[in-house]
Amino acid sequence: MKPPKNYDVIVCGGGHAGVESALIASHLGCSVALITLDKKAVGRMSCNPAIGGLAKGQIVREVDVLGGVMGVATDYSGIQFKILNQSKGKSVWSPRAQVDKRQYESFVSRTVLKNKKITIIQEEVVGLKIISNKVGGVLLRGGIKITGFTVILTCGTFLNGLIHIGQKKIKAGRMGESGAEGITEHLRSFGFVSGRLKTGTPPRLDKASIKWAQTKKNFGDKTPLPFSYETLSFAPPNVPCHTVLTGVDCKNIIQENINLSPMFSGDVLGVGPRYCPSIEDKVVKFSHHNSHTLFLEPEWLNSDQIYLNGFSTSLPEHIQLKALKTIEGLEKVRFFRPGYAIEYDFFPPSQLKSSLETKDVSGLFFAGQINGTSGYEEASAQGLIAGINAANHKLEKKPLIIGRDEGYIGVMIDDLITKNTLEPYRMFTSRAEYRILLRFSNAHTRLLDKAKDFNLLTNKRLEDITKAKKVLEKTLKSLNLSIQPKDINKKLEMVGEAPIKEKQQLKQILKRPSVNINMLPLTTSPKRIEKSLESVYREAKIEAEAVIKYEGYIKRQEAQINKMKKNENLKLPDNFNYLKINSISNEAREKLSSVRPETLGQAMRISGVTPADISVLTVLFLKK
Amino acid sequence: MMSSSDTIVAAATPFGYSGVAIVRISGPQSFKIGQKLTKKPFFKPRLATLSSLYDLNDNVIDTSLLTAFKSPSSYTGENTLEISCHGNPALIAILISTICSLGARPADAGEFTFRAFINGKIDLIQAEGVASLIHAKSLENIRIQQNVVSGDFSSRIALIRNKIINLLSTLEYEMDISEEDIDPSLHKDLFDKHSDLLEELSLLANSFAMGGLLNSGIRVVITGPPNVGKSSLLNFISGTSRAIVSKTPGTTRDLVDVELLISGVPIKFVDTAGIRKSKNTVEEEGVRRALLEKKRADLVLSVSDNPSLKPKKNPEKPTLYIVNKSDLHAKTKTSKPVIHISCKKKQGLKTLISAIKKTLKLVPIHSDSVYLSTPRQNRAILSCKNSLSRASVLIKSKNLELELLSFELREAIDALDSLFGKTTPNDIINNIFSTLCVGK
Repeated sequence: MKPPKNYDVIVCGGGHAGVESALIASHLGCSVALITLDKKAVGRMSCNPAIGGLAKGQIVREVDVLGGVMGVATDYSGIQFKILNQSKGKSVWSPRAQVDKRQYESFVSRTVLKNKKITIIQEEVVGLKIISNKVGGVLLRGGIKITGFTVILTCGTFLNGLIHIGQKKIKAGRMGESGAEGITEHLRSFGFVSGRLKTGTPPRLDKASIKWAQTKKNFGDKTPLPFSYETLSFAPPNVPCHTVLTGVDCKNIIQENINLSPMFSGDVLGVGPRYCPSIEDKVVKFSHHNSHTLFLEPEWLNSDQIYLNGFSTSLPEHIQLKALKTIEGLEKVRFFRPGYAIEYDFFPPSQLKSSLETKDVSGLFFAGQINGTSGYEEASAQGLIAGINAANHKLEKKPLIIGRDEGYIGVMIDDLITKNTLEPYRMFTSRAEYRILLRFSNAHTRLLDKAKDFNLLTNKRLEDITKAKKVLEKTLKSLNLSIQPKDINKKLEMVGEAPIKEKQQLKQILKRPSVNINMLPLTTSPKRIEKSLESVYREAKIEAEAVIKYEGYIKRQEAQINKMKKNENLKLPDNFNYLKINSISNEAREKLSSVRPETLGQAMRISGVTPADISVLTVLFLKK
Repeated sequence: MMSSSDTIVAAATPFGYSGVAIVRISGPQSFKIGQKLTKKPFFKPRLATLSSLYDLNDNVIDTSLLTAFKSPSSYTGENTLEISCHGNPALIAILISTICSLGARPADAGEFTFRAFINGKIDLIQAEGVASLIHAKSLENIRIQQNVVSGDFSSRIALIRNKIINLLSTLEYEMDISEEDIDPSLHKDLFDKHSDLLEELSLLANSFAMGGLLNSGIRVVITGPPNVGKSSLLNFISGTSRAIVSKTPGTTRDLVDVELLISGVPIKFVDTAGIRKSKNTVEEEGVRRALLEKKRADLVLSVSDNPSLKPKKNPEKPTLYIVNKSDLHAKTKTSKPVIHISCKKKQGLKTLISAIKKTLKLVPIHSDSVYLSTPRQNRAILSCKNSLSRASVLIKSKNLELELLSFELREAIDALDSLFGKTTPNDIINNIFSTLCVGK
């Protein structure tokens, strides 16, 4: 195809970050070029067949309110939906879905392909056009230049990707797909700093080789909730996953052969994820655990290929097999593909602003694994923000920045630019200091105003989110009504709560520990609800219960935010030479110089900057 | 305050005449100033060297002993020079002004310690300990402040902080990694570990009762009607004749005080005018002051000479009721809460002192444990303890709400961090240093 013109936004990479960037930029009126090595791989799920999960489910919700595609695609392709952590506190409830990978990929790729403002170019990008610190386009393998006003790099694991299986090494971006060479070197020549990370993926098993009777079945929720506010009349299948347990024999085999794992033999230089650990890591670091749960997840509906979640590894193939065959149910297991580790280049994200634009090259944005993150959801969220801000850059509008108190996306991006993590970054609820406010069920309350300000939503999605918000407001209002003792006391006694003596507001009763919202007669009763809105009403109840029961804690978090805002408002000088303060630690001096925090708040969050260092900065800058 | 690029100077010993006084210089120019001052190339670090000191006109100011401390091995962490000169205020004034013309400036109160803090030689708790140590009036308080300055107190807090973090890690693992339901054994484990922590915090919080008294001292006010022997009691307690004693009622007009150490606690006994209606304006003023003083008291000694005195049921202040002149009274049965003494015959002092100890909860201190000694430390520990108490309520609940529990534990950690200055507003930090004297 003939590259016609000057694009507003050029997106390099068609993974979860790239598609969000391209779709939202085109929604905002930009002409977009999406350059990918393989047209057929657009939206591909290269690892686990699941979307959401702990903390990630909240991110997908936020992506949905900010106009992203991930939630809709998941609802379309999901084969099992479940809310995790239901026994552990309402703000950490996290939706997760098992999806049919093929359905997911085809949904996403169709969405991109049918978008007329996106031109797909199947080529390899080898360099960038950068003139006086401003990006002007990209250079393709064949020597062709494509000019554009902004460029978003979403290269995933493709930058100098190197696959390891035992001692075997294969240059690739993913198994069976070639990597990308040249971009890293090119960026380095402009002063960018790069590093090496690794991640892994587990083996894919042959369904017919598993003794299913010896595995444990896990179903999803009987009455599931969808990810997207747009999804009404939700009735997905509930296909089970199966679990098996590793035992001492398996542990011993891995321990005996640990030196054959390139991660431990020193062959892999990249730093691996601490939190999504390989089975080697689990055996070494949690050696007191003799048993780990492994999940057998179908890659698509009726798939003959099974994803072995929890067994990410880079051991030689025969050792992988030997270890797995010790597990009950897997005695005769066969592989479609062994597990492997992949090493790739990333750019430490302290080189970025909160908008995901690079600090030193105007118009150049990074999103996804290139920033050192791992996970589809993390990538998708960054792709979305980079896409919005590339479009805003073109349209000369202010960038969209989500606060740490507004969403996990805000926490993630702020962490990336201040913490400059040198290991793959995965989202956790514990990273969010205002976690109690960041519930999956209030993503709309938190972010709808911003989405409207930046015009991120289609009419349909805007209507549906607004409707869901109204249902929530109605539900909360109905809890202000009072109830007579005779109408509630029986139920109270049943759960061991003291009866009421005179009429009382429903929300006061709901505050009692053993009372849940379903015990209360609400005026928003199911009979009066349209069938298609059933899940919207159900979720509104979950959220309303959290709002009432957590009221005290929500207020305390809000007080914390107000206190913190003072630190966020204390601006640090732009060009301050931190190396000159000999009264702070060496590490703090280096970190502060490299991150160049904009506020005292940011400085406080830089890892390696100690309380004592902060007292010094406070004294220094408040005095001035 | 305070830029470390300056070189500062101050007398480290108090103003007055003495055999030796110490002038301390700290900062990048210290050694250069020393060279100019002595006209010597220079000294080996940590080796005391005798030398003449010259003013700008080459006149000898004094002959002194100089010791250099090279950064970072000095109190402030900077190059430091200590001059032991003769203890004469005029001489010291000339010396300091000469040093200032050579490039130093006079130090602010506490600036040497502030620099030690800024340069990471000590943490905020230790800095606070330095102030308390300087002002400590008893061996007991010196001991507990030594524990603070040496860092033992800081390590104890760090240990508690670590325990909370371990507990927190368990919770975060449950919320962020484990996808399974909570194991009942985990719930019990949380409960046990948390109870231990709370107990440890309670012990620490209780230590302020004694540590705070040691550091701040106590005011004991002697009140009562005229001519019952209040001034005699003051003299009896202190073993001096500090207050004028006479048979004329209303002799004491002004406040008279004596400070004693009891169990290491500095206790100020204050004698006041006898309370009665008076037409004499001076006595009236004395009575007014006596009533005011009673309000400031930590403990009131209410003196009477009436053997059948009945103590008040609920006095405003902790009060001991004392009947003096017991030698004049017939052997009445002594009702328990009243202490019978005779200042004249020197009887009953032991009983009184042990009653004072008991009421103020003065207990012997253990030099191997740590004590909270400033209200700031006490506030931080109490706030930590309160967070942990709220966490107890959550742990006892049937439905564990882990993120709320985590919220409380994080607040508990913040409270401890405030001890080290992390979450401490700037004015509080400066306040700690301003309680120090110039030269420290």
